[in-house]
Amino acid sequence: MKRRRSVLDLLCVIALLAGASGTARAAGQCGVCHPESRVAFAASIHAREQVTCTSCHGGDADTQNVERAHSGSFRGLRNRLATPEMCATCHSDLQMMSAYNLPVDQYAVYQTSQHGMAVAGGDSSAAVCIDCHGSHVIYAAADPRSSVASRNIPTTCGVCHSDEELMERYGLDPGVVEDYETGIHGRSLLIAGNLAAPNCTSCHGVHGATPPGVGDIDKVCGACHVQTRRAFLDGPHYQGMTEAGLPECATCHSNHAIQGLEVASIDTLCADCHGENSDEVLLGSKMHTLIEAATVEVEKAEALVLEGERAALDVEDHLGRIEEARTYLTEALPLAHSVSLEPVEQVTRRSRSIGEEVQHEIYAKLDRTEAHIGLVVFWFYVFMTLVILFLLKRRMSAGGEIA
Amino acid sequence: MSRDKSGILDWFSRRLNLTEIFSLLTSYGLFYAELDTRKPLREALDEALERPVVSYGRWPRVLGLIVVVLIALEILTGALLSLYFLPTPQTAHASLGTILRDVDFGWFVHQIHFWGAQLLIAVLIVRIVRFFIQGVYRKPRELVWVFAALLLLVCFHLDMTGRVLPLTETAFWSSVRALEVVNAVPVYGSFMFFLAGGGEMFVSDLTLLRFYILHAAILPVLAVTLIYLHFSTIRRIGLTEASGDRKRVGRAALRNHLVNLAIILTLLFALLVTLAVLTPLPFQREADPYATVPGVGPPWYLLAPFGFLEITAGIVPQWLAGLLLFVVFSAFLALPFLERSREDRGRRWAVPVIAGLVVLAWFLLTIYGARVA
Amino acid sequence: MPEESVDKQLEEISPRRRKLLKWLTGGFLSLWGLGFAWVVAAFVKPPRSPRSLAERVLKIGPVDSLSVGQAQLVRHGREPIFVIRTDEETLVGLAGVCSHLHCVLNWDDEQQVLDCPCHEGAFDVNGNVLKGPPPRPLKRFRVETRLGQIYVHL
Repeated sequence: MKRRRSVLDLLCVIALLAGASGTARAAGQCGVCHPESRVAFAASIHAREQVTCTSCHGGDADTQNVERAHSGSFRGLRNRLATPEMCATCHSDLQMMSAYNLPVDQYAVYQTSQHGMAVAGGDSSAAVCIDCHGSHVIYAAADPRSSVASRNIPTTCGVCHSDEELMERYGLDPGVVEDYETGIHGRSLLIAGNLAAPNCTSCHGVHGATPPGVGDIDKVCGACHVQTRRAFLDGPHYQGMTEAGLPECATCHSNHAIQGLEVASIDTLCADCHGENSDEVLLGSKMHTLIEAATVEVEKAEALVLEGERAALDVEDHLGRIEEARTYLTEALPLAHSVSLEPVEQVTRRSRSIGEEVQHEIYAKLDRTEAHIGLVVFWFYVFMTLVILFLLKRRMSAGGEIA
Repeated sequence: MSRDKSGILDWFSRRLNLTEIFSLLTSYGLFYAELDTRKPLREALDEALERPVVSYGRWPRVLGLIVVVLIALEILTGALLSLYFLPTPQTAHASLGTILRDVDFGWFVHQIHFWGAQLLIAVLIVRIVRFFIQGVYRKPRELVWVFAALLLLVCFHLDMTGRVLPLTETAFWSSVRALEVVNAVPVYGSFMFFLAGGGEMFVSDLTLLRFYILHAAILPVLAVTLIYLHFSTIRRIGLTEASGDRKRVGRAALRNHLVNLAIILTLLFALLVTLAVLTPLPFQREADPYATVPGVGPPWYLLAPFGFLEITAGIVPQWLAGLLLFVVFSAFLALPFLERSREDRGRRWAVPVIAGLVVLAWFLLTIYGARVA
Repeated sequence: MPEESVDKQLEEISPRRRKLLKWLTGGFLSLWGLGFAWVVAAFVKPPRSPRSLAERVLKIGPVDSLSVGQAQLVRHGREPIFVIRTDEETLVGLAGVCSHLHCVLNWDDEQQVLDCPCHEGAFDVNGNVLKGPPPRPLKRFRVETRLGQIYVHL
């Protein structure tokens, strides 16, 4: 085992050395004058895949003569706006990209995005490829060091979108990234590290970055929140909100600082639009009561089951049924988006009755009345025995024989 | 006494030395008279009762008796539990579950076994404190102390090994905390490692089995032997020189003593049953060795050394703290001999004062240890 | 003194009643021994239905009760198990809870898939994820038939 490890280590070292010499070769003579760019580039995925300086910058890499090196096909790339087209020479080449299993439509998609259209209009402040991906140091998107890795995207977008001066120019809100970070999506991605949590691109698109239209929010959110969307479309809110021009989901949940709403907030939430004492508020608080009551029963049942477990009861089956009740509770929240009582009532009734059933059964099993009655009888017996013994003792100290 | 009974007694005494068998009771502190085993039982008893012996009727004497009765109760309930307990890592927890769930009175026997052990240790501690205060370690009672102290230590080990057996969550982590203390003490720590059969790691598949054998066979035999030796020394020299303790007693006094014992035993049993029914030890989940349960301390009697190790950690190296613990434990055992050598230099106060300080420190460290854990 | 009067009263009791009293007391005290023996005997008697430690096989029921293309949810322990009869010969055992957030799955007769009611996850009869958020396929259980009965190995 040990020997195999050391052989592996050796192989790694060899591979590293070979890689290093390979990148040195790829950089050619450019690094003599541009050492910083060369070092940065050596770490990138392009260097690993045999892309060289001249692939992007043109010119001659095999000479140390500055004039000759910067001649011929040399194009320098000082113009930011030219980068998308330049990157596309390779990244839109189907033959070249198919080897890496990369899509080739990014440039086309980019041109339809807000960024791409601004660039096409000659706006040099709009984001081009290198603004998000970096120029010399480019990692694969799945690499956690990459500026476009899921957890780094908010920061990368924030470089421009948190810039107040820049955003003012476009009439955009510079607080969106900060909002996102305080929201439930941002917290679960950035703090809890859940890579499945959505980042900016999950809703706005990647290369075709554009804000979803007011009527499309249900589709964007519904991509993940399937059941919630279905219930929402079934209910009266969908049509009402579309007609009123309200941004669907974002009306209640906000757009960037998305908060998972507490069930208790249903009460006040309805009143925000429908006014106090309206029928809708009544409906909301009914749903709230239903879910709350079911949750309380299930939680009580769960606590009881744990207590039963400590009293050495066989609770495996009860734990299974609580799992079932929790399933119904999980279903209740999406169903509440239909803003109708019936479906919510159905699932909460089920989970509540399971919770109550389990409680009854555990209570019956936990019942120690018998043991306590036994204890009382036992103490009566102890008391009688003590009385007999003390009588005996007194007779003896009086000098009499034991009866 | 009716004729039939004496007839049966005679029948047996012609074939058995009943006096010898009865004198076994005296060996375990149930009866303090010395019997002449060459004579028939009744004659020997009559004779012994007319001889001046240590008085029976005094209540403090029942502490020793309680110890014996509790150990007997532990042996009995332990034997019952062993009828169902399967000491392998895969089955230990489940078989305790079977005892608690499915066996009639299983929970009762288990709770009595647990609470009996806690009571036993508490009584032993009270008793040793009493010995210390009354000076029952000074010449010629050195051995009375040494055997009592050893008995206390053996009972600690009985409790510790017993706690681990069902492999429940808190028991497991509680014993891990206890092992931290054991590990720190030189010589003794490595001996326990050796005994537990874990080799480099403390716990192996063998450990549970070995703990079981220690708990159910070796340590009980050791405890019973120590009790025998302990009471043997007491019968030889008595507990105290105090006036009135040795006096002529007769038949009535013995009866009085026996009734007192019956009263004490009834109360003791009532207390145990009440504890078992009203404050049962909860049946925890099976321990997961990969998930530390926070907030679990060592058993209550080990809180002080645990707290001591926690306090000294970072101030002195662990081996030094362990050495200090070792010295304290050794001094506890060898207390009678420590004082004798000091006595010659005319410093009789030294041992009580130092011991008092140690007891105070023990008490404070216990509080600290409980808070840390 | 009251004590003396009690003694006197005792002395005055006739020998026959004294004997009865003695018997009653003896009987009362011997109940201790009886109770003790009862507890020990009850403990020693093996329980009627001991939870067999080796029990790792679950009996489901007759094979005929499950027609082809049907599934049965077996409520057992913390996590239920689905037994699906995919054809005449084959029975499949799958975990009954979603690998995503532990919701209990439903069997869809028409599409022959297991649906998760919580987030639209779906699994095929081999437990593979067909769609939705579940990160892992379902755990599989070995199912066998003996003498026309279905058994699931846990």
